[in-house]
Amino acid sequence: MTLLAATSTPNGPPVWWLAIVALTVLGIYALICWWRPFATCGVCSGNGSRGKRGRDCWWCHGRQVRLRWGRRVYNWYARARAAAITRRAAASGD
Amino acid sequence: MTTPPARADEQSARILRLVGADDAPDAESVLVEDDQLGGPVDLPDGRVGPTLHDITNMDPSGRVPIVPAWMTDSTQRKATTRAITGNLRYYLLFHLVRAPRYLAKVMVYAPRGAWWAARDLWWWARAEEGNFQLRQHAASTNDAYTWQSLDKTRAKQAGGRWRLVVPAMLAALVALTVLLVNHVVPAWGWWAGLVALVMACARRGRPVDKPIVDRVTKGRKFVKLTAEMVRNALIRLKIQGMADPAEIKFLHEIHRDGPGYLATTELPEGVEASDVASRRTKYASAFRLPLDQVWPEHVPGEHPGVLATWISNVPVSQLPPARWSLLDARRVDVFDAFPLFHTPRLQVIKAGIMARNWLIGGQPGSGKTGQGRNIALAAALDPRVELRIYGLKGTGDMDMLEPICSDYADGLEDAVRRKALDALRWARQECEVRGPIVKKFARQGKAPDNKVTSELASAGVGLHPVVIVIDEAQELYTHPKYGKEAGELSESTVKLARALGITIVILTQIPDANSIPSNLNRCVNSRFCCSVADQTANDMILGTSQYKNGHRATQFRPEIDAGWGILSGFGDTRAAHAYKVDGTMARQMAERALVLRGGKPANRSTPLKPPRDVLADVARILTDAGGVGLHWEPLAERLRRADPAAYEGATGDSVSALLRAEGVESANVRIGDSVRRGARLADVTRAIDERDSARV
Repeated sequence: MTLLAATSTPNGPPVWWLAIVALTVLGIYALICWWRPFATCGVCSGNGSRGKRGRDCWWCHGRQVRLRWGRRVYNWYARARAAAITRRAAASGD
Repeated sequence: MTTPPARADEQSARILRLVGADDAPDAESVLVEDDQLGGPVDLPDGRVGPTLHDITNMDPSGRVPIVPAWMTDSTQRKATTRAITGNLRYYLLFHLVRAPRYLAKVMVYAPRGAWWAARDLWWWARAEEGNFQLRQHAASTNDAYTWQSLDKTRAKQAGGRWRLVVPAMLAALVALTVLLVNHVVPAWGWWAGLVALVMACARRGRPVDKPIVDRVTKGRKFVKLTAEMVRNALIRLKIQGMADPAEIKFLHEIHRDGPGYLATTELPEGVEASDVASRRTKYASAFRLPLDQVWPEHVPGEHPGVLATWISNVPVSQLPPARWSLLDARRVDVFDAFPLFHTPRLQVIKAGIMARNWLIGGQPGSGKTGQGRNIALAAALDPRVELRIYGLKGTGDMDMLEPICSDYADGLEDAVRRKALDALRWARQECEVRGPIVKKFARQGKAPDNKVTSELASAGVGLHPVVIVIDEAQELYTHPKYGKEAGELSESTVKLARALGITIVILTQIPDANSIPSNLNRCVNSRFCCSVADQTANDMILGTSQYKNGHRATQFRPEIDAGWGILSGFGDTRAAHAYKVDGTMARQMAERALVLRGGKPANRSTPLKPPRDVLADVARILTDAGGVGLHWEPLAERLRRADPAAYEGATGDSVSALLRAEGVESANVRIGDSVRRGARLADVTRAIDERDSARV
């Protein structure tokens, strides 16, 4: 709220300019999620395990990479959408 | 065997020579002349057989001129040049006017095309084709291992491609720079290159359904048939066993034949020509041609795998109709085959009408009545022929033949149907008369096959040819009262009359078990199936499984393809066209036929004996028996006694059936104390009254 309040001051940048920046950043992030959906696991720093001979990383299960959060959200949305479509088709008796 | 004297001398001389009495050069020399049969086969000395010169020395007048005729002849040269320049001018102007439009299109499509081309190159160099989708799927299912291994595969594949693309681009860049610096290429060369590049980009960028340049001509498609086209079209049919183009052999060069091109091919072993003929629509699609320009058929007289593909220059329905040679014929001998149809290639098909019966069918507007009239007109040109024509449609299609016919009726009324039935009755009766006559002549050796010959027909012994035409015959066969008798009569007549010079021509819409008795349908030996709507109708006319064998009259469209049909009974079953004869031509032919007959219908045969009037007979007997009625059994017995010849073997049941057919129902009749089924006089007289009123 303080940030928004700050933007509305005559001296700060206008709201639409910020919106454009946010949208661009979001778009670039979406492209990255599409083109490179996996990123190095931050928990184990890409080792896949803790220590030299420790157990598998609890987050990436030793794969050394993790799915990006954006992609995770998109996957969840796509699955929910597909399920809804299937349900509707089943309800309409196809 | 005795030896002639001269030969004896020769022989003795030879013996002398053999024993050495003569001055023979050697005692061991042997003469082999005695073993010779026939004369010497060597040519006289100094004369060798045909040389290359003899074979190749063609008649000089038949040679093709060295310089084409249109170049040497000034008129032809001028005409050709004028035609070519005219076309060029037209093309140039046509495109010049549209040039701004083309430019606008290029401006839109070229950038897009350039972008697409670059994208395609990049996509290919990265080896993303197919891989990308799989990787996306792996990401959607959070499958890191698969994603990584897929990406590894892709990277490995892409390595080689990048090594090709990058140096090639660099080389191109260097080459361009060098050319630019050296000034080797003139300015117009750069412009030409740029234009070509832009055009290529525009082509890549245009939607497939929007050509940049407009089509100049929208005329008919003329095609010069080539072997590659035929092979490609045949392969595209995807017939089992025909996949290798090399297996399709050409029996002779593709050449012009009539108004089109003909290719005769030998299909791979086991593939039938009819397999192709039955897929005519697909075949036409493979040629990129309208359906009625493509005519595949089996070559008569060859093995079933020999296919003739005839491609006409224009759709055959647009060809000028072929002229019927009988339009000018002075007269016709119906015992010989005469031209009656032509093939799509305008070859004449000769057909006969003697010893044949015709079934011509097709949907309304398919031209069947026209073909029936053609047969009648041809028959009319033989003055010996007696014509009987019955038009049950009532439109008077054959009215011009009325003066020639010994019996003619046209109309929708019951009286016309009655007359047609009478004609069949008459034909049946005529069979009984003619049979013994033919038998008599056969004994004398004048009827070789126990059939009426042309000589016998002319002899005036009562064996003249008869042609009975029934148009819209289904009207007769489905008639509630006459139908059954007509069916039975035609069936037996068709079987018997063939050899006796009586031909029956049945024209009908789709014949089925109701509209044409199925037995009659089976006995007919000449069939012409015009356009029909479905497989069932097709097989009803041509015979079972003809559709499956590729003989499909469903390919013809009513009205447009009127006159086209499948002809069966004359060699190979094939597509044929009935000659087009309009009303005026038909009238002229009929007039000529009338002149041939001296102005009157010739050869009127013995008239139909008045049929046994069963009702009258029964009425007379019932009146004699008291005027009330009789039971069936006694009635039958009295009939037998009254006329043994006519009622031989009549039983109560048969008389009952006979009378029921005439409209007299069986009723209870009391005679004395017994009440049994029988006939009442009142019913019989009423039936007679009804019949008489119907006749008038």
